[in-house]
Amino acid sequence: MARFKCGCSRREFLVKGMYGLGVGATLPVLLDRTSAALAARALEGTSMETSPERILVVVELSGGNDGLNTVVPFGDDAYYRARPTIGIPRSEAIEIEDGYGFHPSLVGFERLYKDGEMAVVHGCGYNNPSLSHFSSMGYWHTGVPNGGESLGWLGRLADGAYDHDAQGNRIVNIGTRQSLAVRSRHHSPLVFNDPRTFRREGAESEKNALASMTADGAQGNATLEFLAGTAQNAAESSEFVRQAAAAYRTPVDYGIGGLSGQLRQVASLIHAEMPTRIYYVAYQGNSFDTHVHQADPHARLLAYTADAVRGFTQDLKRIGRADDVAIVMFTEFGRRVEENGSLGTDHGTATPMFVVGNHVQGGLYGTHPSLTELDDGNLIKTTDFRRVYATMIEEWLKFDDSPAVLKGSFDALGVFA
Amino acid sequence: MLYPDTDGFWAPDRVVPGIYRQVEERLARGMNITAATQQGDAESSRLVDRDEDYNTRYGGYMGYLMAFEKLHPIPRRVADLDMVRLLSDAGVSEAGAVVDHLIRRFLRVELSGADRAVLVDFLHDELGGDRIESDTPQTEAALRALLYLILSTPEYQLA
Repeated sequence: MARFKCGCSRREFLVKGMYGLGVGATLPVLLDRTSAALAARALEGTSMETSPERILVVVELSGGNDGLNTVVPFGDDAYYRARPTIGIPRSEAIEIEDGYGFHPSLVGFERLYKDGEMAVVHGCGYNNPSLSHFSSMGYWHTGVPNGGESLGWLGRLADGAYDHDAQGNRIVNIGTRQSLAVRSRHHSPLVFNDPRTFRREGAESEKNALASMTADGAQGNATLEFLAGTAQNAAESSEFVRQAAAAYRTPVDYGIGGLSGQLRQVASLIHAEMPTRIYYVAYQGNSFDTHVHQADPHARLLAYTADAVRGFTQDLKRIGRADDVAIVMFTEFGRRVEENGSLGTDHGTATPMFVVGNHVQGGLYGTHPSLTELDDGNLIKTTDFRRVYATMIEEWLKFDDSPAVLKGSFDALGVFA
Repeated sequence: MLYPDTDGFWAPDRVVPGIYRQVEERLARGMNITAATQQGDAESSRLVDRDEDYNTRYGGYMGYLMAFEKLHPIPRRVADLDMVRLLSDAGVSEAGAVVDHLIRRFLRVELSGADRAVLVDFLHDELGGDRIESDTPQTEAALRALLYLILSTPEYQLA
């Protein structure tokens, strides 16, 4: 049975921390004392010792977000020549600086940017880019383009940065399926879509019987011990997640759309002092794949994103955890520079990434790709996306061995103060 | 599927996502399309509502309805098992023997004595006695529930 470093089992920990009191205002307070101390103790002696409370939230904009209509280069005439119909007029773009502006539906991003809490990294990509959703997303997930890596970059980060307690819930992946990005050798990510249904199916009598079974016969069989520990962790964690989500109340408006619910759930778990340090949320089903009549759907998707991210940051401030959390947003590729004949855009290459947080030094980073010097109609990346990953690993989480995680050395960008 | 949920089941290909369900409910209450599709007070969404040439929310809702009309329901098939006969053929009827037989048949590793006892108690409660007395739907359901528990154990992952 997996045991916490306080000497109590996870079950004992949860019983003491949650079930004995019931869910209510007292829940986060008690867990605050317990879980935060546990997380800090687990990082003693590592490079992350000084910042054990730091949390990374990764947002995946699945489908290939059109970066040129997200961060609009309205100061470049080539943009309007390439996109005479779907280009965002200069008068409508939300100007930020240096001839660039946000899409008009990114009001939430504008607030974050002007508050100095958002970094926009121009032209992120990798060499020999793939235009396939599957391949390119795999490269971003693993952080090893064209490499055939089987583990995710966040999984490898957890393997290197956190103690090897497979049931430690260091990673939470909210979604209908586990992302390759969080696949780890030593950590079992907690994966769920809806906290309300994150539980075993069956009648009460069956659930009671299963809860009574201890798998004590597993002792001496390492594989079975692992399986039993994982099953027990799933049962107890699902209870924790359901109660934390159900108990969470916030006046903050996250907007609508799938991301709003996911980030609200993340906030509820952070508030309940889940020992998780890596959260992963994603749009479902290649939402940003805007080949046809993209103007309105893309505006809607960006609004969902901006409202949810802005709401999340506001909520974190409300609960006093804004200093502990940073968000990074990515997509598997941008779109081609020229619009297509269906009032949409096709798969492209380089695209901006976004980093948000209280400790972020806001602004534009990197160089925007040329809109005229192209590779077969596609942008040539100016920033290797792994530099952003390295920034999150080294500058934010303070893990000093990003080359081991990223399988190569990449310079951090100096985004964090 | 050992036993289908015939009461609470809602086919996953017939579920309208929350934002479209709200549109449906508002339209049913007599609201016009514009009012029915305005959702959320967050600032970015409000601007999109204002600027949209094509009502993506209504379009999405209608897309679901059209898809439902074209999709054939997915039939729910119950696993082709006859647990009563299986155990009868094995010559076991007492609750403890039933549990032991199913453990031997479906698991490669031993269950602990305590876990076995939980299963025996469970079967006893489901049957209302210590033995399989008759071939009734209730008996079959109890045995399927027992099998569900065995297949839910970590030990089954090694089978």
